[in-house]
Amino acid sequence: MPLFVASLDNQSLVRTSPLLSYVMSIPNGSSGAPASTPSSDAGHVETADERHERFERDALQYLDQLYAGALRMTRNPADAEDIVQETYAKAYASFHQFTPGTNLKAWLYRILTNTYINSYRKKQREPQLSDGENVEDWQLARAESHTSGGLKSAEMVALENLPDTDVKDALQQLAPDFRLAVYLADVEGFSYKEIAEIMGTPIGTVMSRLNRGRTQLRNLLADYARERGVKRAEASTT
Amino acid sequence: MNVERPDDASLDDCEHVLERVYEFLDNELDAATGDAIRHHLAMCEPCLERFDVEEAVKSLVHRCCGGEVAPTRLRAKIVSQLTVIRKTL
Repeated sequence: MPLFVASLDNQSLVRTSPLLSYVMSIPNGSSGAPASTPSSDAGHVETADERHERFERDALQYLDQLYAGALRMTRNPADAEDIVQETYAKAYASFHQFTPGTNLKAWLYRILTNTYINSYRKKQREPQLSDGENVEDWQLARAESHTSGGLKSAEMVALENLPDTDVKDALQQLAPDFRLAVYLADVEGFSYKEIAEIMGTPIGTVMSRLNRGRTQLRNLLADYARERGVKRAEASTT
Repeated sequence: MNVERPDDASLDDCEHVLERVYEFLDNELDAATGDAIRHHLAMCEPCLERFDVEEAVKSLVHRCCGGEVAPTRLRAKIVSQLTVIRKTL
């Protein structure tokens, strides 16, 4: 199934650049500052200068966030820089297709995601946790239900005090689709609907990826917390 | 493997509550369903403990997994790249 569905209008069919296929319309959500409108004057057609300025002003403000997102995807700074740079090039070339007033950050994230999938992810074969695709979600919920429930209070304290490096490390171990869904929900605070549009999947798939990704993440972090809890207990008795 | 989902689940059921714990945590449920889950969590210690762990994991990811600042040279590269692309448009 293609992750990316292009929707071309008549105008973009005239211009055949592949860059112009990055079209999406994301409803204005809670995340992201409102993008400015091309012009308050209904009769005014935006000039190239004005569009250029609007792009620099509105799109570049998300550079740090897109870079952090790209780091989670690629897991190394050089590749993250490359896909962010490519993302801005594509976004700039198709900026006339972005609907002002809709969610610019989500639009940029979708281009970033597609750039990562198309130009980067195909190249690499990285070891990662199984995504357990043939297990139903409700079976996971049942298997999980009270058995692996809460942590002992010492483990809970250790969990909440895990260093950033442990948490990043655990997130990096997830399969890319799970990692990205968790990142978009927990770090960026996107809604399921926005994540579905960014990742080009139905909402049910987003929920499934979040379920599975978080289940794996929780188990990894609980292991780290237990190890650190044991070390702490040993340190206090010696 | 294709297994039918049991249809006897109600919100009073721990299994069903835990199945929706992420939607609850992500604020994706309607008010009535959210209230039902809140009510269950208030009454059910094991489910509450599970919820606490999920909430802790979500806030850990939020706190630890973002916030990097893009290198200055990347911003400069992008800005000059835009000027180049503009000439080709």
